[in-house]
Amino acid sequence: MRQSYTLPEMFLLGTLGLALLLPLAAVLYIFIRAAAGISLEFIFAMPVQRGITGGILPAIVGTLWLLFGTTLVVLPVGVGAGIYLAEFAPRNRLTHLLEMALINLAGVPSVVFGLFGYAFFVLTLGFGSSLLSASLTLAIMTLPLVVTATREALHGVPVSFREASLALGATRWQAVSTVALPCARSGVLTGTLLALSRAAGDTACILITGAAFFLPRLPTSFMSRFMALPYHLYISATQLPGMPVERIWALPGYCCS
Amino acid sequence: MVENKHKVSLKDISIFYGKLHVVKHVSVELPENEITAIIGPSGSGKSTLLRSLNRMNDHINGMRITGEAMIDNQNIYADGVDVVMLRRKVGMVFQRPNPFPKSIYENVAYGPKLQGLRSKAELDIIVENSLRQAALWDEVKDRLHVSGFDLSGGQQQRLCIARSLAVGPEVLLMDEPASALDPAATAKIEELMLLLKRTLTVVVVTHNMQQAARVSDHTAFLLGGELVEYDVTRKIFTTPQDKRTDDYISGKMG
Ligand SMILES: Nc1ncnc2c1ncn2[C@@H]1O[C@H](COP(=O)(O)OP(=O)(O)O)[C@@H](O)[C@H]1O
Ligand SMILES: [Mg+2]
Repeated sequence: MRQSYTLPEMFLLGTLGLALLLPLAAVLYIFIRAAAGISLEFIFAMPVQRGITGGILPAIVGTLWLLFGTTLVVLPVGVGAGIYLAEFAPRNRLTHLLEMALINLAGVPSVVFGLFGYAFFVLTLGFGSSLLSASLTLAIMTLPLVVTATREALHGVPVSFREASLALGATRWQAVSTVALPCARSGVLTGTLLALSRAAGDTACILITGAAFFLPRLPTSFMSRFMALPYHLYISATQLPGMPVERIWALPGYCCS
Repeated sequence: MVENKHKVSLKDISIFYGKLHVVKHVSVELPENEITAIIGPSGSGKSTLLRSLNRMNDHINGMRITGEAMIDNQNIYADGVDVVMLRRKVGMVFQRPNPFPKSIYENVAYGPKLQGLRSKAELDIIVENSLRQAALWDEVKDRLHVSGFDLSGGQQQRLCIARSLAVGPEVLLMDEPASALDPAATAKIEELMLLLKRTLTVVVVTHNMQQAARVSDHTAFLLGGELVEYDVTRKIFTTPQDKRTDDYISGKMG
């Protein structure tokens, strides 16, 4: 079909190759290195000796709690705000400004949100170092992502569906809830999952709002301190002399699976 | 011929988008149980005028309308008019078939369900009747639960008509309902319109003059937002009173 690529086309093809190969290689490499350190005990046992032996159960459970808490806040608030912006906000400069602000907030480094969470939730509101403080902080960090994803997903729904619905006597809310939202569902979910995976991998936010470095028991409530995978990895890899190296490799194996 | 009573009557309607004056001082009365065609070159305000009859223009930022639009002697722009009730009475079919990404059944049941109808038995009856009225029942009765998207373009448009009929409208607005269809599908839609006018008042926008001549009883010619001429269709196409109408129908214009 095509005889030959021009130089710019070859360059672009090359970048595509790199863009695919490098991340794939990273994930594969981690999985292979992780295989040596992974065992049932590693997943389901309590850590012993500051995590040098034993398992990582509390870190897994802690991360799950965090994600649960974050979802509980970010899903209704983020999706609600996204729906408002896409469907009901007047089309004016203020709305436009707000949308720009949200897009930029999504790029703020997580440590900024972490510091805010510490000052506001841990100290001012007195939630202390806890799952609650950390979940709320992660929720704030991921809100702009979820709002923006929801908004874009709704913008992608053809106007003609909305018009058909309105012309049949739907109220604006009915047109949104019965047609626009169901059409946008997969976009909203993808955006939310991306935001949550960012929350799951974040260390800076939880570091100062509630994560413990060694706590060999499971959290009992949202007021508990907790262990979490990314923080555990960070400590294990950098702060603990004598940590068996295959245990370190095994950790990100979970973070990305 | 006895004149039917007037279902829709417009008095000095002007419509603006911001500063743009799109429909200019239109006054016209549309008889019940007839098909009225609105013809004119593109950009002449046909869709805008049509959409003012079920207040779909309300959703456009900066839209302003003056004058009186009466349906059954009630001004639909008066304070306190419930737009939702208005749209149940004045249905609309769009230029491109736009079924929802739902099953054929769910498409037709959508309107009644919005109104809170839940009874399966009643919905079944409404769906069947509406599909029959839209001359689609025989083609889809064995596959009511496949997606509306699986139908051909012409069938999709008839599905959209059935969906409108399910709400029980008295007026049906059609904005170039056949312009995206092939001649065979177009003929079916035209046949259907002739059936529908027994029970409904139909207003159809078309840029296809043969179509207007074939199906409509009255024709309104719009040019640059002005109603140049309105009369019995046969007169418009044989003995137009205005030179501009003559130019347009004989193809000397747009
Ligand atoms: N949403 C809108 N906002 C601003 N101007 C519009 C809008 N819709 C239509 N117009 C303008 O109004 C005029 C009439 O449009 P329309 O009613 O769609 O004409 P027709 O259906 O006869 O082609 C055109 O000049 C068009 O550009
Ligand atoms: Mg038009």
